[in-house]
Amino acid sequence: MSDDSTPAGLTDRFRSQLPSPTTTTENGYSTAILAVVFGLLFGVYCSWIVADFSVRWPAFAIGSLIGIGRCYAQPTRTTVITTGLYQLSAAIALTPLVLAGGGLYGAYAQGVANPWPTALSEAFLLASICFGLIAALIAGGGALLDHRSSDVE
Amino acid sequence: MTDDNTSTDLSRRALLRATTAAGVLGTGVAMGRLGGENNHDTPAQLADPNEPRAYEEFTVHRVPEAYATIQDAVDAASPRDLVLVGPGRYHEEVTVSETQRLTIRGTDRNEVMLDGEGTRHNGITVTVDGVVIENLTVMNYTYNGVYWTGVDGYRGSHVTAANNGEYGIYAFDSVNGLFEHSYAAGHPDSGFYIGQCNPCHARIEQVTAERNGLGYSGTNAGGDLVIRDSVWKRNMGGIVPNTLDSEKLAPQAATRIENNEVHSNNNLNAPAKAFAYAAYGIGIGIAGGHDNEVHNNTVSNHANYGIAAIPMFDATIWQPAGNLIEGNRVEESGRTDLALGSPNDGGNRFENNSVSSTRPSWLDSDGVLASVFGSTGDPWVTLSQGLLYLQTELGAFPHGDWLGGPDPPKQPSMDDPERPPREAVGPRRDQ
Repeated sequence: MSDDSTPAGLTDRFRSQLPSPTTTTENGYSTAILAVVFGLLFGVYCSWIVADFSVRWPAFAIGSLIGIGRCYAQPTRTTVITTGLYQLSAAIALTPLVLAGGGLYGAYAQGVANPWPTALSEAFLLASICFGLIAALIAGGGALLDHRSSDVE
Repeated sequence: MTDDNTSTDLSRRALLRATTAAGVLGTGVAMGRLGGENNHDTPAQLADPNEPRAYEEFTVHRVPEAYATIQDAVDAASPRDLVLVGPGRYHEEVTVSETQRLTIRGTDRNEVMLDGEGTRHNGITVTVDGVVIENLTVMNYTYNGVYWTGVDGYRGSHVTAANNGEYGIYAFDSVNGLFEHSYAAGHPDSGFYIGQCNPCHARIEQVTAERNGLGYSGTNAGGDLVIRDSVWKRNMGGIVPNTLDSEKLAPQAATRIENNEVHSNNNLNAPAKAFAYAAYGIGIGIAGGHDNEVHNNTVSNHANYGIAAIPMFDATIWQPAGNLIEGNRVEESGRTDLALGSPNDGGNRFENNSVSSTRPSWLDSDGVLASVFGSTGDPWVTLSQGLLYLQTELGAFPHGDWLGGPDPPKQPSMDDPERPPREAVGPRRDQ
């Protein structure tokens, strides 16, 4: 154990609190590539769903950075995958909301008096359920992977 | 969109219910038969026909001076005659089923009114060739204002159609026609409609459509069919050529849409049927059509898409293909100015348009993504409009009522109502 009162000890403590870079773990490079792939996938999906708001490229950049950052911080290949799946499922679950939001945004921008019935409808509810199921399926895959991985350890 | 509007709607509803839901889930392609083959060989535009020639020998039948009703005058007329209708409100349905090349003309477009009072079916129905309707107003019929079906040669000039239960000015299974200087408002299906013809050899020009479900609808219609120099505003959706299995000659193909002003087609208070609601917020929408040309239009202020090519989900999934969207100015679109839905059958080109946003991002660009993905569409476009249609299957959707809509504004009458009658359209130059 390092002594926190010394500079070396503080440095060690600071290092220990940093996310574990995947490149220092087993299978370093392949895990890093996996993190980048999942991060880019998250970025592409984010940019796709928010394109109605004219923020496609910022969404891609920010989404990718966040996605890669979150995955890259994971210690193992398995947790990279589960994190990637979780964040993707979150974006998918939000898709109907963004879809409806884009319609409302566009309608208000063009002076439509009351566009809410076009957005909040039975069809929206059905779409929310469908996308929710898809998201749950993907998140469930992640959870299963996580669980199996824990069992192995 | 056929004679039997009710049965068509029912069958369409039944057919679309499953496939639309599937489309929303992103699995439509796997469940439906994909339609993509062309069945036409006439381009979107041939040379305009010659000017209609005036008839030299004809008789004028005056209403109400000589005949109490328009139908009485029609029944007494011979080919090439003119039925000249004076000011008044006429509570009748008129059918022209025997006398070819007849002209029915009002002396004052705004004062000669056929009024269906919300109970009669069609204002004027024409089933013989070459009949011209001019300079009058048709309103409050439960089906259509003026309706040609199965004819060769038709023209509607200086006609106002308002607040009828299906279509305003309507030509079905007919060729060699012209709608011009006309106005249509307050129709749940569309203000102007040309359907089931290819080649149609028809023109729509110098017209205005507002507060309809669709400004223009053209099911399975195309081939030397030109829609130009007109205004399409404040409808639920703007100009929508479309493909349906319920009519012959699918897929819709080869219509030229040129030099129109298309704006603010987001009107949730317009009367609208399900199909029109699915086009809410679209200026020009090609629904499952092929080889159409959309050129030099000004399209602005739409809640969803300025110009969109999207698949049409029917018993067959009709995919847009080979359409050229070129040289248009599109601005102030809620989602994006240009859009190409998925699935599509390729060959759709978006070139030299003035726009600020597109879906997918590579439309109308020469970038790397465009070279990689080509005419790959964006399922988001299909999803956003598909959800609107799905809502019509699941419950209520916002729209106004056709009956009791505001009276149409006064429109310019023709210059000389006493002039001799003329042919519906002049001889074609390509024959």
